[in-house]
Amino acid sequence: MVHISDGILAPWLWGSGWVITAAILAYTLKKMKIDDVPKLSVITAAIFVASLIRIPAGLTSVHLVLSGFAGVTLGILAYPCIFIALVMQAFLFQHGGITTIGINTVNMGVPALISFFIFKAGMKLKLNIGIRKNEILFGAIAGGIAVALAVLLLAVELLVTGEQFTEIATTVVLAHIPVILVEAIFTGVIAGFLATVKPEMLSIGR
Amino acid sequence: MISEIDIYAGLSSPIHRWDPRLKVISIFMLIFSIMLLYDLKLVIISMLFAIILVYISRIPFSFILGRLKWVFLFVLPFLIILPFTVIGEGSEIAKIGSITLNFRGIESVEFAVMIVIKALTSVMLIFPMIGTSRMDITFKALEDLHLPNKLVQMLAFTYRYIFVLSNEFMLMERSLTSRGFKRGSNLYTITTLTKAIATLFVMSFEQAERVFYAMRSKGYAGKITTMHEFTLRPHDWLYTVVVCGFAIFVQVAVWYGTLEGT
Amino acid sequence: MPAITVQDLGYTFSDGTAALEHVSFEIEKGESVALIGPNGAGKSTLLLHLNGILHSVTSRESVRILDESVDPKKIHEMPKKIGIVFQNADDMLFMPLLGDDVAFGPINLGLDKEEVQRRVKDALEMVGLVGYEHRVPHHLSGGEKRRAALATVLAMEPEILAMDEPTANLDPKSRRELIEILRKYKEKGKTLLIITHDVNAIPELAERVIVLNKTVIADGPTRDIFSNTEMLVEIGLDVPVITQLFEILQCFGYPCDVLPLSIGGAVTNLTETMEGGDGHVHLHIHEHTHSGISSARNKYHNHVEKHE
Repeated sequence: MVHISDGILAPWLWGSGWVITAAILAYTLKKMKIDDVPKLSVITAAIFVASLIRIPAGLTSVHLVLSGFAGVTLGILAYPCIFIALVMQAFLFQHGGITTIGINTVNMGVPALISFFIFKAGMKLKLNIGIRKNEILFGAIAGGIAVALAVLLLAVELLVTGEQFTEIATTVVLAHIPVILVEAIFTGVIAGFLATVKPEMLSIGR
Repeated sequence: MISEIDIYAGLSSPIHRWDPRLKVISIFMLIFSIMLLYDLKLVIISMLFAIILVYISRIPFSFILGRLKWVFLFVLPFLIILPFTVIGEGSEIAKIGSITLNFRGIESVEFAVMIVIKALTSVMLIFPMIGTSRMDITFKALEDLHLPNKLVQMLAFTYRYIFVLSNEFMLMERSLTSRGFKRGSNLYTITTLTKAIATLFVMSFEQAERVFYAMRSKGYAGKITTMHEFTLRPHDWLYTVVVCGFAIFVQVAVWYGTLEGT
Repeated sequence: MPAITVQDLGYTFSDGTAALEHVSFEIEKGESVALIGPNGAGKSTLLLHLNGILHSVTSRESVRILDESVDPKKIHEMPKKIGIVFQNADDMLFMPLLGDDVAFGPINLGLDKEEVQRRVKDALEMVGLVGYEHRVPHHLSGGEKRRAALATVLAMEPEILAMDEPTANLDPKSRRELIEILRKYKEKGKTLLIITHDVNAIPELAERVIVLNKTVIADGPTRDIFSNTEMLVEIGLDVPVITQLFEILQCFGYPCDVLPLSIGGAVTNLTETMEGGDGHVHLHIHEHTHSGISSARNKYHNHVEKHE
């Protein structure tokens, strides 16, 4: 639900979305080694598949957004991965829009980058709260913030598009509160899990 | 769990015979052009044009409708919420406690309808665009259009592994269910599913490593070339002119309309 | 000329456990060799060293393929010499279309278009998947995928073919088909190295067996290795069922000096024995029959029921 369909946002907004995405893509693709391509693709596929899984939350169920997870594991390369995942969602599942791929990538990708920096900073803090707890704590913060920021960005974009979207924007924000919680728990648990099972999957080393 | 969009790629229609490179570019341009429209009449005409394209492509409408359903569910709130307001101006229709529900007027209904039609039209056009060629041909077309090599490679690999991993997750879910796991709204469900997904990620990471080894073993040095070659024939250009022509036509109509209005 | 020379190869995983220790062997051109060993013995790790995908400072000196050392910087040139088929076919088939997967290697070798097309056609024919160029990998059955993965390597026409677990998890028909494909390849005079737990397939595929358990435990002609049952059972391996059966038959007084390893061998053995006798085989229970049987079965962990 964080990704918006075609025809809603003002054209200058989704237009700038493409410009920003093109710029960040150009930079991150340059940083990406060609040898990383197969690895990143399989992880992108995993993120894609995981985002299709329904997680019960209260009376409804939510889909994971996983942008925070992408940031925590892939670092700045989360951006091209989120782009590819959104292209796949738009074309294969008709979730989200075509003209909005740019802005949707900004909405999910920029928070993913921020959550990466938060996680990285958190790992440097060396809080003495016991083994793995550091990863769980900052994973949860990163995961929650990534979705919260994405939702806020979307709400602001809706408001900027027109005053008549105020109620919609409010609904979007309220509807995502359970998602933010689930996503925070998810990213925290998974960061702790990876710290013990597969530490090389966490982006700290990158 | 995942169905393919290109299952009707084997049909035969003018759209199927259209060069995939020109097809992707033209319809992409058409979608952008329609999304720039803010005139209900032109939007409706565009939707009719999209329906005609789908009709020519011979992709069954039932297939498309099944997928339009989800987009419709997404935009439905806009249709319901947009015409009403609790903070903006309008004619009062209800008052619940301190909240006043106002109706914004018929223009906002039109606006909401336009949003819905635009969203549906864009999705509808995906089907003639990429549902009429096999996915691998579309990837080759993108490569031929000089999209960044890394992006096209990522698209192709991701596409391939979506099917492998979704199958693996399905197996994992079955093994959870067969051992008595039931989804519920509780922390236990969330953490269990999280662990299942975490395992999926670790598995995928390890598989990614093996795939990379396999590619290296087959002489991969960073470049993927395939053997498909595209040829352009006159009808390819004809279709391009028709579709791009329409995309330009609606923009000219808007521009002409603004001229008239002033 | 030796096809593969491994001299004192060692490898340690990043977590510090040793995967390979002082591994040494040499395989001549045209030989077909089975590499067996328990799970975790380092077989697959060894395979990845043969084309330089896994390497360490010491391994560079230790592995020579076709009498040339393996340069980790030139891995992309290795497939001409040695083709490796991985255990999981899904790892090998990463392109959207099977035809692209098979063409992937030859294109990387820099061959021209006609040659690539010929290779693709030949390779698919060799594995019995004619006309599968436009099939999507995720629609293939497990057996087809395994053969397809093999085709992607055969298309590079490597001098040496190394395959990890060719027959694992296949139905009997698919297993048979795979064995036949490998046999044909072997008959062309190519070098074959097969990792397998399928001991019943080894006599058909390999004339020599190397037993690996982090280091080379035994190395010799297939027959010799399979007659050293104590050693095989010790590290958790087995001998072909046919061999076990003939060992039991011996307890019933069947005269047999050399135990057969396969159905074919069994037929020959039976025919010879009967022709040497008067047209039939005489079996009987003698005083050592039961003790012989129980010791033979105990040896293979097929324990006789304990209660009287």
